[in-house]
Amino acid sequence: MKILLVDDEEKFISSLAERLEIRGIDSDWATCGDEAISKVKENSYDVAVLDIKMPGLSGLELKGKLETIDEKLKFIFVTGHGSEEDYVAGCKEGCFYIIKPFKIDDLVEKLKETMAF
Amino acid sequence: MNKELEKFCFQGLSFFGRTNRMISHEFKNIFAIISETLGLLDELMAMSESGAKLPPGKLKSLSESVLEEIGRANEVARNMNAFAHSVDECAFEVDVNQVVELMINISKFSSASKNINIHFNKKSSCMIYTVPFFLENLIYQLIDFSMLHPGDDHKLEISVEKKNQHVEMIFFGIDKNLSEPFPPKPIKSIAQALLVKIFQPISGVIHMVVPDHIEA
Repeated sequence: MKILLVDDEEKFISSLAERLEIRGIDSDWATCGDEAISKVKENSYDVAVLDIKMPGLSGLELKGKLETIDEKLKFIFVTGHGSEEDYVAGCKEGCFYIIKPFKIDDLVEKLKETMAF
Repeated sequence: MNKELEKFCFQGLSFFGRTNRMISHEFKNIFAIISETLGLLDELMAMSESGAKLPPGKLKSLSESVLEEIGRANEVARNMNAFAHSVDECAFEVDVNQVVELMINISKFSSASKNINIHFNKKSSCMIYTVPFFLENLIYQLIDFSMLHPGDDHKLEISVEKKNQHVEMIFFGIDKNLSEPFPPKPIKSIAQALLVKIFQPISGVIHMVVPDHIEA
């Protein structure tokens, strides 16, 4: 499984990527929408884990752009808000949704469920 | 309560709620970083105990990262505390410079602000007697408006200067071709309550005159 993590908090995703690598999950990361778009154009990922609130392109907007590049790409949304509004938005997109801070095993579980979906 | 007053009160509560939401979001980001960093530290130590070699300096950089985030959380809490104290009383004397700095710091928690570089030209102390919570709301709304309508270089500059019986506040770096009416209603109503004059933006610059004393 190869995943792309997208979040403007660099320290958060770099540590998260390293922990996923320890668990045998090939992980790459980007700190903004434009960087994520470039990476998806150049590489093949199974799942993109997107922060909903980011400067520039939001996670929801980014999903739309990434889908046009790789229609097989699956998504999980991450947010620090945990608001009803974000939950509804994530569900509308038919995606899993996880609230920061989370346990890494919960993310791994969501990644497996997303792959099997 | 009449409809206009009801709307005005709700606008204040909405500002308070929005600010708290942004602050709690910032705390969640900090907790997430600390949680992932400590999780990684724990896993690396377990690997080390099993005989794996740790990259040199790795433990130090991870512990420094946690300390930086604690410093960041402390700064957020300090701003939150200052903001909460602005409603201790309805009206009191404040330094406009401090209010602007606080609102810049709080607006930095908004994701939109990360694309905008905000610069504050602080001059001498600008003490005024006003309703601090309304002044915060007004300045925050103007920063927010400026971030939503930035000029080409995405740089917002704010200057504050004490004049005879007022304070002059200027916002530079707004879109020179604003297509919507200015000021928007929420900004207009708070400005009226504070007896603040806001002039139509000219060449991407908003001028504002804040009286140095109002009867609350």
